[in-house]
Amino acid sequence: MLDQSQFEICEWGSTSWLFFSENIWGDFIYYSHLFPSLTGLIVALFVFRYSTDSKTAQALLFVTTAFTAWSLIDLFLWASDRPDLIMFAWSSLIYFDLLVYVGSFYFVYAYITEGRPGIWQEIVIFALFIPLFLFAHTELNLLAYDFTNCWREAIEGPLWQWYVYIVEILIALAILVLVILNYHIVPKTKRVELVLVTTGVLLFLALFSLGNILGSIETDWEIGQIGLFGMPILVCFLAYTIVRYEAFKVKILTAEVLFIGTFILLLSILFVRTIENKQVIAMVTLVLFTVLGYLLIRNVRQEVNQREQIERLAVKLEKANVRLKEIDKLKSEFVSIASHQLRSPVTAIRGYASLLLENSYGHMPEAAKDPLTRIEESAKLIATSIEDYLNVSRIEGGNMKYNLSDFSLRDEVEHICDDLRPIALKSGLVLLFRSDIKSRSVVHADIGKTQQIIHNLINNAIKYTKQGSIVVHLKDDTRAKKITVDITDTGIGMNEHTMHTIFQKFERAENANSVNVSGTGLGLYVALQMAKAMEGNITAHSDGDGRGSRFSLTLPLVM
Amino acid sequence: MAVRVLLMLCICSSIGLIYYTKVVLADFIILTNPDGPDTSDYFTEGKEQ
Repeated sequence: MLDQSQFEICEWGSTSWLFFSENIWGDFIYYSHLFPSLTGLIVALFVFRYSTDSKTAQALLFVTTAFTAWSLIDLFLWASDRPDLIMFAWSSLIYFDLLVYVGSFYFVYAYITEGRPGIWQEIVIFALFIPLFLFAHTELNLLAYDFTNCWREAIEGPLWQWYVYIVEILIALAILVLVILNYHIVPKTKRVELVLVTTGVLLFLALFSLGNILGSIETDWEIGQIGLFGMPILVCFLAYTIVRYEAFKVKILTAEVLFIGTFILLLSILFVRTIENKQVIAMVTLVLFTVLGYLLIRNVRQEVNQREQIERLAVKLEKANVRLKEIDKLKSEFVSIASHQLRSPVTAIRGYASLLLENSYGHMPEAAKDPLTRIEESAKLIATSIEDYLNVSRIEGGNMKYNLSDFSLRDEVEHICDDLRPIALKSGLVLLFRSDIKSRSVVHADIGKTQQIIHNLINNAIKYTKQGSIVVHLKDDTRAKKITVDITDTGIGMNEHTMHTIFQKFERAENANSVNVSGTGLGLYVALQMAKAMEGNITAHSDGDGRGSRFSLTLPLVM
Repeated sequence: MAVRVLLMLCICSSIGLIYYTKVVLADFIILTNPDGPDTSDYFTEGKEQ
């Protein structure tokens, strides 16, 4: 180690805060190291914050982190006065140098494929590091520490001078080939972005390599600092693609870029020593401010125009909305009036047809009975349809009235089953009622509407089942305070699509025609709306076409 | 994932080995200028040329 007298001869200063000392020479040293690191890290963290799971964002953060580590280690070794630490830092730099390149390859790969390289590609990348694992601590990495004339420099060996630089050139070529091969595969809208990002990456790597190679050959490390300015160039390309194309799914305004860019440039002036260099940075700041300021003013104008256009559209939309509501109200009134007008004559037709069939107006000839039966059934069908339309009209107009009261759901379900059992038997079906309840099965709902819902569900089960059985199962959950009526049949069943659409207006099962059942497709819609109005719900389940269905009505339980 | 983890472990180990060689053992050659001031005496450890 160096003794005290060395300091006197060589006049080396001691380091404070790792990076600050009188040993730092060159006008750009702090500026060239801290400015690129800061800009790169800010952009990468910004992108990463917007899309944490994105492989591209992760790779970009990795590249900028490796680059920052490289810059800080480099700064540390120039500030240090200890040969052993300088040799350690300089030897370690070889890893961060290569990691910047490998990270850049991952970044471009992820930008194209939104994934990571395959296992074999990663093994090749690992293999590139093996010579470093073996020789990074030996003289093949750093030949010696050059103390000539009090210099504080390492002399780089073949691992630096040949191997790493060749590998870096190969990786840059691999990136270029990757982009060329995939250019036509990526969507057309993304191609310009890809070209911009790749150009930024390759310029960054080229400058980085050039700085290091020239520094190594000329042993003039002030020239080498120029390589570090590749990062701000990459950042400029990335910032442009982000603002112009919303790359990395990041939405950022020109105003934000202007603020961040100006802030970094002004901050970095603090680290520049000479007036000449401050003037250079002031010029860069002025150019950036002019370009981005122009874009900002243009954006603001566009936004003002767009806002005025939106305001005009909003007024038009409001008028159209009022008109639509009026039309909708008129439609509902028309349906309501038309249905009311139709209901009375249809009821009369049905009643008189029934009376005629019962020979109330004298004996009917046998030949007339069949047509009269058809008239009665058709009138019944029309009456049901009218009732459905009226219900929809009431629900949509908010005019459906609910008379809520407490009653035993078990009793109602059992009565409905008793009423419908003969109809089921007529169709050759068995209708079973099972009760599995622990509570009094009291619900607070509209008794008429509840009957209508259960009637509708069981009636549907009968209609859509050719053979087998229908099981009505009543069960309660006292902890959740809910009671459920499951109506399970062995009928035509439903597929996945039907299960999602069956409760919509005018929707019927896709295979409904296979059982020759007519209907408006409004029954389940009305039933669900009624159940929801009573704080309940109806769900449908089926294992598929031909495998039966289960409809479940759930209502809140009164404890 | 496994390859990347292995790579990072190897890099960390290698940097550890570099630290041991260069800082703990101070195993590196130091070049001095024969025409300039003789600085070889200022090293208590390490090799000289």
